Amino acid sequence: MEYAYFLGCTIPFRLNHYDLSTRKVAQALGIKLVDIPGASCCGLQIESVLYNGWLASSAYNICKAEEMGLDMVVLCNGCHTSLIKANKTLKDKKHLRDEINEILKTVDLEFKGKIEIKHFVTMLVQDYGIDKIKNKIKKQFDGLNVGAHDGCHFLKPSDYIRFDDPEMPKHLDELIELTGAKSVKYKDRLRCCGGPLLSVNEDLATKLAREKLANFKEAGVNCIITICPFCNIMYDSQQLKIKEVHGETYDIPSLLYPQLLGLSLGVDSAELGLDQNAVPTDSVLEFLK
Amino acid sequence: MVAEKPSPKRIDPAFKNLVLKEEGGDHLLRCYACGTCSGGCPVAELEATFRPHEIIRMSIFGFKDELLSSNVIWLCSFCYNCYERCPRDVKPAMVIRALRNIAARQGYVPNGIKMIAESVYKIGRVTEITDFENEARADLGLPAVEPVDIEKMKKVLKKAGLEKVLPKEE
Ligand code: SF4
Ligand code: SF4
Repeated sequence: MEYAYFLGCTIPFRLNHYDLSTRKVAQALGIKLVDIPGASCCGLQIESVLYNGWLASSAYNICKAEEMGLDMVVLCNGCHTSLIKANKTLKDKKHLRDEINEILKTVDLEFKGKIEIKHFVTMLVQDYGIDKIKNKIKKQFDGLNVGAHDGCHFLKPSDYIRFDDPEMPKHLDELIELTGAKSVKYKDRLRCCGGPLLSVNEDLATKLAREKLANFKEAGVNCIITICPFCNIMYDSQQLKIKEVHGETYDIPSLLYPQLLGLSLGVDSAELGLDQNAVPTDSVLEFLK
Repeated sequence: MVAEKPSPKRIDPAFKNLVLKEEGGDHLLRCYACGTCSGGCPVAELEATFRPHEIIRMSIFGFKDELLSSNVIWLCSFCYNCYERCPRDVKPAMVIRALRNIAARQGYVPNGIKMIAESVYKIGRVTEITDFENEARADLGLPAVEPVDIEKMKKVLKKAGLEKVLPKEE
């Protein structure tokens, strides 16, 4: 199994442990991830100011994966929704495809509509298979209660993404539970983390994150699991900022899913970047048997 | 701001046609004002000035200036709840995107988003990966991130019209 690997802007800038743990998990499972040379921003961040600019930026990166002849795997929910929406829009709507290809012609690229785009998590479920992962589990968590946060752009818009149920998702729970951890119910799981608002209105973004953190705390989770750099930032480094500014103490470690799976696959914790998370993660390791 | 009562002469009934023409704005007139979108909106729950069903109504009635110059249309987090749940498939989030695109063409973009759009235009990314970041990656055994072919990327974004919605300078 081989995929074009799209990192996006935020992960190599602030969340190398997400990249690192994903590569280690892929290695342990025998999945090959090939970096896309010269990949740019997926365009999501300009969708609000210029529709065509977003579509062209996404198409630019999709073309690169098409040239590699590989389906694309992404780690960021933002890139996920952006690239999947663009890919389907360009496949389905000829007039937009023509318009964007006219733009891409200036740099000798053409959108052909040959590949699929998936989140790393989707690929694990759809292409690799839960049972196959189960066979590779070396260590199980015992008594670890996890608060799973799928993130809006992993699930929606569901007419484009077509993977999990946007109102009652279950795949992330399945993936969490094969490590022996328990994905517990908590209030407003589907609620936005606030991440997309951070650049426009930090106060409002923080309000959303604080509400979620309070819900995680109330449910008594031992750690939060996210699958997106923005969600992770809201619950991990922002958690420390919230403590500083609002005096609210949560002390809940927030891991990226590949960090959890990696531990269960027997990858050494040092190789999963667990020392790079903002909130200390040692307490999670104590549940690993 | 939305709270202010617009005087009748500031209403432009033709404004809806502008929204209808924009990508994602084409279902605007289907709205029957049920309020489902606002009921499930995480931002509306915390922010009294933000109600997606009001934004839809104001677009239909033509409260053009109130919408375009206000900060309110930029408060949506694009969580897509309204998009999933609207019984009339109005796709309120996409109407909000359409309004933002129109606002951007008229020079109304919040600073945070302007800065991001500028760096995408200048460096092809939201955040620049310099030697410093790549060294940190090397320490972890991660491969360096290759720079974007910025000449190419700029050509693409220029042809798409990004310069027109960014402030003039260079
Ligand atoms: S949910 Fe749809 S129909 Fe109901 S008010 Fe919102 S946009 Fe209008
Ligand atoms: S997409 Fe925007 S308007 Fe719609 S529910 Fe989410 S935050 Fe509210």
